[in-house]
Amino acid sequence: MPIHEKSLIRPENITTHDELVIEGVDVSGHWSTFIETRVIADYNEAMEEEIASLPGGENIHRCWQCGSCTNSCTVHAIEPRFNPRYWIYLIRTGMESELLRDKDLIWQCVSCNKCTYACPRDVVPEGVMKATAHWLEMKGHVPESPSMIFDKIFTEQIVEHGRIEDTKVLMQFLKRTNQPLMQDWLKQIVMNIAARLPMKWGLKSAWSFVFHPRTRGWKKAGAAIQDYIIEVEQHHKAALGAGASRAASNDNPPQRKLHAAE
Amino acid sequence: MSKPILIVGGGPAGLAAAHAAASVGHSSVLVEKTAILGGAPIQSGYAKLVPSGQWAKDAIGGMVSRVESNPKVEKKLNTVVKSFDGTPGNFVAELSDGTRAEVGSAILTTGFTHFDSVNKPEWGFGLFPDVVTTTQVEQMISSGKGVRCPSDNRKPKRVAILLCVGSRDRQIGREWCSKICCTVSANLAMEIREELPETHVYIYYMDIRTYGLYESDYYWKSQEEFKVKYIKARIAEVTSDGKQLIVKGEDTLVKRPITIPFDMVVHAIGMDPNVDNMTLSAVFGVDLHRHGYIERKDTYGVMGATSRAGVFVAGAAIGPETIDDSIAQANAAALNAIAAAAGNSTLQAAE
Amino acid sequence: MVDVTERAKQLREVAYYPGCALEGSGNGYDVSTRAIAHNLGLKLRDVKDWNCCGAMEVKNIDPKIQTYLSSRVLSQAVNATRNNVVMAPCNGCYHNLKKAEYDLANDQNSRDVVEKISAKAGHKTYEAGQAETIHALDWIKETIGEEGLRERTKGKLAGLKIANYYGCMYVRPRHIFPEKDQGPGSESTSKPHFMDDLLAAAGAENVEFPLKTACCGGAHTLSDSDMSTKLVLNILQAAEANGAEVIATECPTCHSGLEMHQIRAEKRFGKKTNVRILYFTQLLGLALGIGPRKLGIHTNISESIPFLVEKGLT
Repeated sequence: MPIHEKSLIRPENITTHDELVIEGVDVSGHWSTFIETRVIADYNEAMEEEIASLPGGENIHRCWQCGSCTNSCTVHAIEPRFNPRYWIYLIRTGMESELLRDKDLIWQCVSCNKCTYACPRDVVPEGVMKATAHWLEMKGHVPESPSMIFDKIFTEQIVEHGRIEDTKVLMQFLKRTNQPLMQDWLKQIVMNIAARLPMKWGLKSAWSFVFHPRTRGWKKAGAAIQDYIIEVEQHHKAALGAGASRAASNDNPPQRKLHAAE
Repeated sequence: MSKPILIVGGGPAGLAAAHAAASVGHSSVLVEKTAILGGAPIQSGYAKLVPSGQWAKDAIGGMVSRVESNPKVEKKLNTVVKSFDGTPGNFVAELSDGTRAEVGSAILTTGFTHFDSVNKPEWGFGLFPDVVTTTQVEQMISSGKGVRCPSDNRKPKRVAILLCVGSRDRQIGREWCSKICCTVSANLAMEIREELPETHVYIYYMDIRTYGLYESDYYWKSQEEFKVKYIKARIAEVTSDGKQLIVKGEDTLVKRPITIPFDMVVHAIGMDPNVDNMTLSAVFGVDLHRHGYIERKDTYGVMGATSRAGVFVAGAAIGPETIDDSIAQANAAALNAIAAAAGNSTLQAAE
Repeated sequence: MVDVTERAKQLREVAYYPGCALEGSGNGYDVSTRAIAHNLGLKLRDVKDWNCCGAMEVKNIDPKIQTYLSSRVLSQAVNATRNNVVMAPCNGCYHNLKKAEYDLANDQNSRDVVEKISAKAGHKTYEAGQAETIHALDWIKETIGEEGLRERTKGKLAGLKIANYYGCMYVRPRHIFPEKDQGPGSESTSKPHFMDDLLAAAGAENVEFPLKTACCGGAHTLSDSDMSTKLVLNILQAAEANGAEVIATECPTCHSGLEMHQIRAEKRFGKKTNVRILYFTQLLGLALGIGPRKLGIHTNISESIPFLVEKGLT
């Protein structure tokens, strides 16, 4: 079914009439949307600018819709609704409601960079996916994704110690996402190792779990990174707030932020 | 009497410049690095040319014989210029055959280099024999053998032409449109359909840039009269199932993945700067454009001017160019080169 | 033109950056890398007080923090370890150090942020061009080379069918690897071959494997496990379909991803695969006659020792 017809059969477009007679014929009941309006009534003109202001989104304006990102995409091959080219089009034209239909998919990007490798205009679609996922969270359209929770736990450990300990990241992630600590497949993995686990290795794991691996003399570096994180967070919030208010004012049309690479 | 003009490169532009100079009684030295005159259309064996429809070997062949028989043009084949010194009216060129040429000015008609498709390995060239370039299809047609799959010489039932191979692609540093490939591809698609009416021809595009009159004569005509199909998709990869080529991508207009078998895939290859441009730039002391072509100066004052007075440029040496526009530029450059050789000081910027 | 023998001599002693994964889940990669270095007479000097490269996770929080973290590792190599060639076996570390190098050479904004954080952290700011990052594959290829491996291994891996799996971070995006795709002798980003070359020199039979640079879904191995399992299953099944007995890996995230999701694919989707998963350094170590325990093969999640015994490799 062509793209322009797909919207017709979405559940919200199916209307019900208890009593509807057209030209003498009783057509009461469930009907598809040939009697519903399909006009695009508004564009969110701030959306592209806002996403472009977040890390990774800088080059979104270069896109000319060739489809190289989507056709090289790892996730698209498994989940056909994952379509970076289409989302970039929606963002650039400001079709926010259309984009929000896919809001729960966008964070699934696996950062394999196949799109970045293929893109003839160097849009860096992988970066755009990350920026869009951030934007959706910052605007409150979606709750924090599991991926973001994972990234935060990881980053927190680095800020604190300079290094991560992978078992600890795993445990904290399962805890914060309210998942049972012993998933059946994890249990299997632990059993596999335990079967031939020499005591020394077990002790080492336990040791590093209790005494987190750390970089000597890290304290100042960790503090400097923490300062920077707070700084960029404020900057991003300001960019999104400013974008929204600019779009609302006709006197002050949104202007493209020039990117250094251009 | 002013000194002759040095013309570097014996393709359509060089031949046109030599002929133009001779036609007003001015002699020239035509230096060509290969063993034959005619440039890309002859050396690469092009078929019918855009927009005349004449065979390349007739149209460009005629330009070659006209110059070959002209006593005003001194031809030097298998020769390159080693050094070029002096000022307008009084240049000395040392040539690779050990001779020197005293000339009044020079025109660089050094053309381009075809993009080498192995630089886009995802599209299968060099891996699968039935992935070919537009140049190879031109040769199939011009040789009279017809369009056949190289693997087993069969007539292809389905042909895909991929546009923008080596053009408009930041990933491989080609940030230009090669100008002619859309039109050439539409022309070849019609040639294929004419020879093999049962064969389906698909053109995969990002944009169609058949500018000016080419719109109706090639783009529309290929669709309306020859039923060539245009799909808006940039192909992800060309693979093979052992029997046929498989073309994968996204048909962007219907937002659906495509995995389509073809017998032959044609790369519409772009025009790279001549591989010798760094050397030419050093020998002649001319600036290059940031993309590697020879840079034009004073666009509105002196047609074909370069950064060095008395040295002019015409044709695809400047950037991707058609044959007929290359010839027009060469005629204009010849006029200015004659004036420069005579020490004419009216060659100034129109500012 | 670099003098090949000069270069080989230079690389006989490099700064070694194991990274977090090689201290933890990818310990077998670390152990086997050190074991073959010892066997081949190559010196590894651990980067002093190294920190995490930033990985993909920190890049997602903010790419400039990742650039800083990687720049500190390079700074430690140059200033504290006094060696300007950094060898990183982990694809993620290797990728991030390369990316930092590229960003610092090309983007003023990145330089400013790195300078600011470095100053606050109280160490020398890393300047682009001071160090060179190489992968473990480059390191063995350029020091011992195929000829050297042929002599030392006497084709010990003969009869072993291997699918070489390189993953994403070793080849993409191409602009951060300016030394790749430079014609004969250089590594290819579309069809990498360095691991194939080395294992072939040790006698192995490399099978045709179209998914060399496919993605294992390592980014979402926990946050979107089904996705990762499907991607890994594709890789495992393709390797088996092409006749591979072993998948050789060069990245701890890919490696443990393949191992974990091989188990998960069976538990969750009932799809069992038998292909063994080993680091290329473990395979080269076996070829050099080093025992499996010294190569950390018993610390892998997947079990391959009985198979290796059967093959006469231990």
